[in-house]
Amino acid sequence: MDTLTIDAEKCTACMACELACSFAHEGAFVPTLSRIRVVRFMGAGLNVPIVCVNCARPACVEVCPTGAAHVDRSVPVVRVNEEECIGCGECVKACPFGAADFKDEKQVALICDLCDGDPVCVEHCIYGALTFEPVQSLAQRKRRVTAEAYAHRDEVS
Amino acid sequence: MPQVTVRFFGFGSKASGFDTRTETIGQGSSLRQLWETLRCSADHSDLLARIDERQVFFLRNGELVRHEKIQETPLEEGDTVTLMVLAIGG
Amino acid sequence: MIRDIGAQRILNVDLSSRRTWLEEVDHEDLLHFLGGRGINAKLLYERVPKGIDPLGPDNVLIFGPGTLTGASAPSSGRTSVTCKGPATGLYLKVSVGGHLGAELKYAGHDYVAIHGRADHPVYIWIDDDAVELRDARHLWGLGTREADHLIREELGDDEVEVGLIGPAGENQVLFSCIIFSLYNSASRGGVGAVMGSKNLKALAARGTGGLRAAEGDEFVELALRTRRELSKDAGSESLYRWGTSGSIPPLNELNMLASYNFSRVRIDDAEKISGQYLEDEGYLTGRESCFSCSTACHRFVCSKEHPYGVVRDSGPELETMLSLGAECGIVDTEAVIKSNQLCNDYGLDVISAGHVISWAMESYEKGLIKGRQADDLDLHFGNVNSQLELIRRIALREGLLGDLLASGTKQAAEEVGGDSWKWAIQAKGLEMSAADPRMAKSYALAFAVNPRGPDHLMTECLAEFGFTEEARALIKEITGDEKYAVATMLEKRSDIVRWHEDCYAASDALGFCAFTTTAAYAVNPQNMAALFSYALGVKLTAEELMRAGRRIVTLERCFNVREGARREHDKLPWRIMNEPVPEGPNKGLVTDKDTLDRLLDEYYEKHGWDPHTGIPRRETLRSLGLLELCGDIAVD
Repeated sequence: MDTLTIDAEKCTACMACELACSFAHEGAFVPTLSRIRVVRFMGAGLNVPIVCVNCARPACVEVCPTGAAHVDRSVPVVRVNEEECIGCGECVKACPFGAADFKDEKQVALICDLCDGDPVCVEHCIYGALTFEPVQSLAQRKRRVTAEAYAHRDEVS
Repeated sequence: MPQVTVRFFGFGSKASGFDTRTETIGQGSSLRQLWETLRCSADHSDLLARIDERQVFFLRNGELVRHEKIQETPLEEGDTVTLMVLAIGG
Repeated sequence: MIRDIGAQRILNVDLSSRRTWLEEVDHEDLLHFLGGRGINAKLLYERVPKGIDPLGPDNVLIFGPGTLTGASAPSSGRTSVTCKGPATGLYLKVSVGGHLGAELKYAGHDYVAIHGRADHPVYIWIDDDAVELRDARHLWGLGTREADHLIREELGDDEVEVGLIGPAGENQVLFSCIIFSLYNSASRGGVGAVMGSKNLKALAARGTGGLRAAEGDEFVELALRTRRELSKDAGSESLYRWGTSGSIPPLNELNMLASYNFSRVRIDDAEKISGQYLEDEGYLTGRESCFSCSTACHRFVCSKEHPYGVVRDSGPELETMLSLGAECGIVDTEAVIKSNQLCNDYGLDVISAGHVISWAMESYEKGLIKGRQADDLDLHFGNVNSQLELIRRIALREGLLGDLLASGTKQAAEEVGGDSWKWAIQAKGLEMSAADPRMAKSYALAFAVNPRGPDHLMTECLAEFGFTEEARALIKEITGDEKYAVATMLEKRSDIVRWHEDCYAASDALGFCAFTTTAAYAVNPQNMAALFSYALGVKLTAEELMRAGRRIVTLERCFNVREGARREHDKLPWRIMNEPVPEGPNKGLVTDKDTLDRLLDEYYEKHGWDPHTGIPRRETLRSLGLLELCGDIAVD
């Protein structure tokens, strides 16, 4: 399973991800219809992109009363069937990351579909604040970083 | 054999650091030859060995020497060569 | 609402009558003037007649994001702010980054033109279609940081973007600025004072709409390719790594670093006020971008030893390190971080603030400002505490000296008298940026003819130094030979300036940052024209784009001519024209009257302007399609 990781230290709030996402899905530049949104802490110079991380057992799907939000096993990603969505907002409440939102004009859920496995936000982020990779690769990288902290030997670096 | 002073800016562990050393060069050496020698003798982990020369400012006695001219710029005893990691601003 | 990029609208606000109304931009005008700075200039020319008081209700303050602002082209989030300038009495366009420009576009407005004067402090709140004038009396007097926070809190939306003035703008200090999205500044010429004179504290916007490109796929593809090229440019990389002040150490080594009010060209320990030092010593805690920019040249810093209290803020930039640092004889990182923060909060242009103070320091050391007139401050070069105190007094117009300096060096020198006018590094009433036109002749020419005064962020010809391969390639493209990429040469300078003028005007009009077109070079007239064409569904060539740039520059000239500006106003500060470079490899260089005359003669000729007066010829205006608009000022 692939997961999307954010590195907030690298995010500069350029919003290229929001533009890429909204264009890919809506054919226009509309940040409020982007599935990825950057949260800014202006007093601290910190920017945090919030986006679907592609849960293996997504809470948004579990709570959906109509099944409009469902897992497409072929990728796998979450998809929203807009005709079946009743706009109850339960997915927004359920997502632990705040990655689900609402399309105001259509009154339906706005959930990331990870661009069918090749996220454009990742493609457009020049700084590498977003990565999309298999969970096991991520785990391996993290193990190595932790291990390096213990190493003092030249061969390791 | 002539000796020149070489000042490095930004090549050490600190981006804002100046390192200075004396280098002995061959008679009639060019700035290009000095550059190549410094790079070859640098540790492979050193920025000096890895950097693209287009990302370096070359100064001879305080004057900028353009990349295409470092071949034909001769060095003399007592010259000061400054190598700076390129930075622009406005 | 999702709008077509080419269907532009102007939101007009009359603060006197409290009326707001929308206008559509004529499509032909959009192709002619490209948008942003270009349409701003046209609106100013049409709406601001000759001779009005820049600090009176007849001035019009126009915010014009670029035509491509809000779309995915790299570094295209810049906004032009245009009005008649209070410091010079002439045309004033300032450029600013941040995210407010894009937010205005998403709210449905490509321009906001502000007329009149409110009878008490207000702020404009644009919430998509709804426009409201809200009471700002409780915000008046507050620093920009606190006021920005309060506005967003009372509007109940964290994603509101704000452009606002601080106490300096409220007090109509002639070099007060407008702060955009906290980290950015529409700085020069007293644009903040214009806002203050209108009793306008802030412009707040929230836009939930969007923009549609006519040929979206082609646009996005070219935009992404350009973004990637830009990220590989060595200049762009250095801007990301060390910010604009990364160039301090090279400038110092080259003896091109303006210090002590331009009386020297280097300073000891310059590394301490460099971008490299900010990173090495742990002052740098973040890098920030403007909307859609992948260069992230902005810094976010935190003080370390906190000698002036804990300071956490954006900046400092190169010009800040120069004007508030080296020019004042200060190479203390903590001090510049603090003085920068004060200027951000009070809403002061750092370039002018630094140069006004360095002028005062030189005047003090020469005995022309003393005792009571110095407000009993010790104004020797290097005195940090005096500088910090003076920034506060200037912003609040407090004391004899604070009030005097708030008018800028030109007026202050007239008042103080003696020879102090000789070291007022200004022309047309605007303090000069810290780039030395004695050693850079395209800069010399560009500074002299700049309609807003001698300043770099409106035609900066960095390429003439030939620092990078791309810069040399550009000089070759403009002049036919790379050998002209030597800044001290006089040949071909008018060609270099002309190209940069046109390119700057076009990039401002589209919303591109000058760093992408004239410092790094991934964005150029060819891909600007292509992106414009894809966005609007038209076919604009690079030549037509540059011609539109020429049209904008000429229109701006016409505004100044109408205000009475002539060739004799196109000059450089006295020190630059009369005192040679004192040290280093460029020792002895100066840009004297003869040199400037030669450069101006060539420049006016190339532009088709009368060489005696600098007034555009009728035929020139006709060929640019400006006769109808500006014919009244033309000469034959």
